Amino acid sequence: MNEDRLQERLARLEAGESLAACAEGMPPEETELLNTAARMQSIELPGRDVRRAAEQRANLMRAARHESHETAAPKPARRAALPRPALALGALAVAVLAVFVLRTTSPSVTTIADPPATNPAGAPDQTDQPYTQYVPVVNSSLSAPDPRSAVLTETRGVVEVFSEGRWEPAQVGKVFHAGQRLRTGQLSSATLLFYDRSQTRLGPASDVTLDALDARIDGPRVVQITQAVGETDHEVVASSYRASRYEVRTPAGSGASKGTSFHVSVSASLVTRISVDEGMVAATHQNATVIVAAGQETTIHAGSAPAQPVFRVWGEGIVTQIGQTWRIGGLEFATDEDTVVSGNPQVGDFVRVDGHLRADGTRVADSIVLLRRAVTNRFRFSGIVESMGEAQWTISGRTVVVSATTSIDSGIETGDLV
Amino acid sequence: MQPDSDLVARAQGGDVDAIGALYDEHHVSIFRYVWLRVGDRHLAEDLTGDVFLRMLDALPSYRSVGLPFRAWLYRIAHNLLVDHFRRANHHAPVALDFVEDRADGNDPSTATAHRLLVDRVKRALREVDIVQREVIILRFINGLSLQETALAIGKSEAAVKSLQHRGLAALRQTLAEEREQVIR
Repeated sequence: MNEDRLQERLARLEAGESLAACAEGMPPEETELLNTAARMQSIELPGRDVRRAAEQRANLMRAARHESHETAAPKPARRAALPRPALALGALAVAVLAVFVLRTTSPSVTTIADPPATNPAGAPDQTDQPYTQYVPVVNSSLSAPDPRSAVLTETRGVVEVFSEGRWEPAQVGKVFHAGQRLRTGQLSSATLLFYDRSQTRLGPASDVTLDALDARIDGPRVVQITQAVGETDHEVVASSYRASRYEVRTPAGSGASKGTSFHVSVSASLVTRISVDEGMVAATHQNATVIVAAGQETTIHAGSAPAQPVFRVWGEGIVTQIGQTWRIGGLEFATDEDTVVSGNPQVGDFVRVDGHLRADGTRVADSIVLLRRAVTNRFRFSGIVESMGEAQWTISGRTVVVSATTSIDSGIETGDLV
Repeated sequence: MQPDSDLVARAQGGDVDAIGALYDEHHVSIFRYVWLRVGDRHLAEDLTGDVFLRMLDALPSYRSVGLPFRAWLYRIAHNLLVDHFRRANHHAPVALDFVEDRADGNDPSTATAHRLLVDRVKRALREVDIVQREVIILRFINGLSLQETALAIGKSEAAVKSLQHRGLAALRQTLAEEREQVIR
């Protein structure tokens, strides 16, 4: 097999044999691959910023000293002290190690789950086990008390649980069971951690119900979630039981999916979008199935087959042209009626663009979000805070729009000078 | 230089100097891996620091059986990047801006040639499938073995073997096309 032969030659190259010797007897096209590998190995990449590296080393040593003096008491959330808010959220980073497959029977369900059993139901599959070793890096000291429960490990903004016919605030540490419903408000988020350390993160204005829950690790896992609206991220820990299932249902569309690191969004118009970060997702609806690979996304409109997956394109850059076609970071992005532009970015501003590639290779922007105003586009004024809404503030009579990207110091109250 | 296994054992026993030594041993290669994944030098610097803080958190749970320390550390970096990309709107971005300050004080012409080469490779890597790209970076730039790469990204050796083959083919094709464009 070519792959084996290439690896055998690469191993010899890595062991110090000359390129010529390693390439001997190889077909020209494979020799080219060997050359490419050798070329990559010869590249010298820049080193680190010495000052930053030294600072980090000092921080690490300080943290290690602190840790070595700690008692057996639960660790504080170190992430909360880190400078970047992204890590302060304290969620998991999960390596996805297994391929999941599920065939759904309901035509109105988007499902992400494990494969149908090809061995006796419930029997652990020990094949390929060396690679299913999972190294969880969990920043929360919380855990679900038992497989039939999940615990809320992170909340931001308005997070509520539906209980006894009404919505009530849900706090970190709250334990959920099958049948319970959780929702987030605007600019809010929440993370549910299951017993097997899989997790679901709700984005803003999202609403999910736990339909079935038995996230055991000593048998087939069952997690079924209905997502009525909003955005969720799912990180599913590998299970050695082929009968395990992890399902996300949406009101529009049905799916059979592979993969354990993916994002599901359901818009107000009930359009489901599935994007995959790792692994693969097979989305099915109207008896049509598409396979969505890492880096791709598909869209499912109610009553329609899933769209053919498209490769996502994304990045950050400075806007040099706006209009029907935007130029961002030197690349052109077409826009259409589905393009969402947030923050009113102008020429010179720094933005993030997310889009997809058309079959003809042109880039289409799905969203363009302002990240940083150009100096020339900025303004500054001071005033008294008169009102503080979720979407806008009034400061000395002026309306100031705020969004998820607005940086707001803590402790500001009505009447403060800002 | 002590082998990682000794350092790790000491680090797990609370030896702060051993933790520093592990940092010294691995921080540059972790940085390069992260840098090539995120495409932004400053962000990569920050994320590299986070990798080692996570390492500190997870050290008590590390067991050397079946998972070499270096692969385990790259697994942490891989997990952190997955987490980072998800937070950055669920995508694994490749920065469009590739203009970065580079720390080198070499001969200007050599430095320029090197910058061009690195830029070219980065551009070519951008065209390669995400998972293939990660395998190429780990295998041929960071020098991980087939087994270590498999463990770091949570795939089988057979899968990595296939990914490296397809990744090298895609990379070779892209580099060749770019060269043709330059010649024209």
